[in-house]
Amino acid sequence: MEKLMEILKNLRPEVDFNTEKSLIDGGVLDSFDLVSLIGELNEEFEIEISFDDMEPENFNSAEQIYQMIVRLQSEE
Amino acid sequence: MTINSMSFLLFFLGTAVVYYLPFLKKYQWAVLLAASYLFYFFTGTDNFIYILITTVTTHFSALALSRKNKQLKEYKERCKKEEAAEYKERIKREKKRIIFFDVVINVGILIFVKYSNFFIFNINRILDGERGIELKALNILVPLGISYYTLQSIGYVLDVSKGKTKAEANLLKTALFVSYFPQITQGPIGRFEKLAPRLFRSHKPAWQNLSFGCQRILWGFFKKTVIADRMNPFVDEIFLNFQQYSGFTLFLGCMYFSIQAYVDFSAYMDIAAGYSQILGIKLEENFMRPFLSQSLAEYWRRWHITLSSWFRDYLFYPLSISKPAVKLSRMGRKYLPARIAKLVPSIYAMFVVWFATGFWHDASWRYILWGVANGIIMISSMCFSGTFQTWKEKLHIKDENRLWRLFRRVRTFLLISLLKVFPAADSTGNSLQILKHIVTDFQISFSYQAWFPGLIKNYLAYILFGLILFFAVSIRQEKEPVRNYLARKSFVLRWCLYLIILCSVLAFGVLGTGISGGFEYAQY
Repeated sequence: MEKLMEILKNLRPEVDFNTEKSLIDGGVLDSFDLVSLIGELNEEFEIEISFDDMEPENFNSAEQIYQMIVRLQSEE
Repeated sequence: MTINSMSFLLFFLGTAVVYYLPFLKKYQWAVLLAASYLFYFFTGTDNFIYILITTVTTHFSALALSRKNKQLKEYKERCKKEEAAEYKERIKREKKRIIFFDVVINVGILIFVKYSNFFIFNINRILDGERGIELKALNILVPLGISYYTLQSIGYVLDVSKGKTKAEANLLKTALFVSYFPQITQGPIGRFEKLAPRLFRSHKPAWQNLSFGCQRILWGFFKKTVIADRMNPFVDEIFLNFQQYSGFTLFLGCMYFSIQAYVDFSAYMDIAAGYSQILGIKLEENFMRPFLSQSLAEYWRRWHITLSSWFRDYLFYPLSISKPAVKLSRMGRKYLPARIAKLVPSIYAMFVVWFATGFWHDASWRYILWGVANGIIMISSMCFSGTFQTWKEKLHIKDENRLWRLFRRVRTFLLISLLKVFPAADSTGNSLQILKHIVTDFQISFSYQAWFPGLIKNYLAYILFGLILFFAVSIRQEKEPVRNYLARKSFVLRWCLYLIILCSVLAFGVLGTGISGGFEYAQY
């Protein structure tokens, strides 16, 4: 989780990822943030986030992103 | 034998009769394969070998990838996690080799048949006759639909690799997926997971399929003969003799070309989808009224949808999250403002995608320029979106304002039309000349000759009638499918409309050549 928070912080320093629960639905992250974030996550956590995983329910909060990473790591 | 010819109609009727014979119900897919190969055979026997190679390599690559996925799954189930990770790396490398083999062969064939002369021409220009070296152009006929079926086949192999779809075990069924005759000439570029079940399943003859299919074919013929083929001669006249016209007429020519290209391409799609629907097989939609787009990005989501989504899924997305993109992104964060830095992976991917899109269309610099110009405009729009937003707020412009939306639609159409100068001209030099004329010699004129050079007034009336009906249907279609809307209307009204369209085709359409004339996008 710490690694994830660091990546998120680097991506958008002004956003409070500890409390924000609607990163996608609230328009905090746009598609360019997502693409950038996915590249970082794939590299850092050795996972493959597919185009089909780009759903709001996977990216609305840091917690959901973390859950997706854990799920993909277990599937790998 | 083009899809809008009488010979195709007869060929299709014969196929449909055999297809629906009750005792062949289980083998309908085999009837389709036989018809597809027969259709392909009629278009040129010399090029048959290329589609066979694509079919065989696609089939065995998909099977090999599927086997690798299965091996990995079984290994994971019986081994420890650490051991599985090592094994996974090995399988990953092997899968990459299979994909590499498949892509090199299929893209290699495409490059060989479609792009050889482009490379030879450019090498000769660089050498400039040095030491008497001049490479001879190759005399290769580009196989029908190769740009379309190559992308469709590669997409299937990549989907199997990702585990998104299962590999087909029957080589003949793969052959049908690659060569299905209504769509082979100009797409749509199908996805295996959607198209294959429709192709391989048995279909009963259904009244609704016949009725909707015929309606769509009729609509396609109307668009093709009354609008596209009527516009063709005078649009050609403007671009072939561009030196004789002012920048104003040339810009109008770009708009006409834009409309004509859309009507021509979407007419093909209507005819192809209509024929296919009669067989009970739905094809993917390729257009969603692109001229109603409010931005270039939206236009590309509505225009040639199956091509744009192919590039998005198999090129843009993998490139934008690739290691080079991540490296560029990290570098960007060090040196660029945050709002620009986050765009770096997308900009990198977009540049490659738009270069590829231009090059996919045609082996020429003007198409590469056209693709890159599209990319540059969209990248600029991404980079300056913050500034535009600030201006909009200062000017109190709201997105839902109707006038603002209309302005954006007109602006997008004019931009798309201006970019069409590259495909419309017959060479890169001429497209740049035309562009120069438009910029330096733009004199607005109200003479008929300046607006419609060489166009007979009667023909103009036919075209306008066609376009008014066409755009009225498009606007209605934006709210709900027009066929559903018509289905609610009385029988008499519906049939009156069908008769009007049929009579328009017969009275106003270019039937002499149009009924057997080709489609513009078939050359790509």
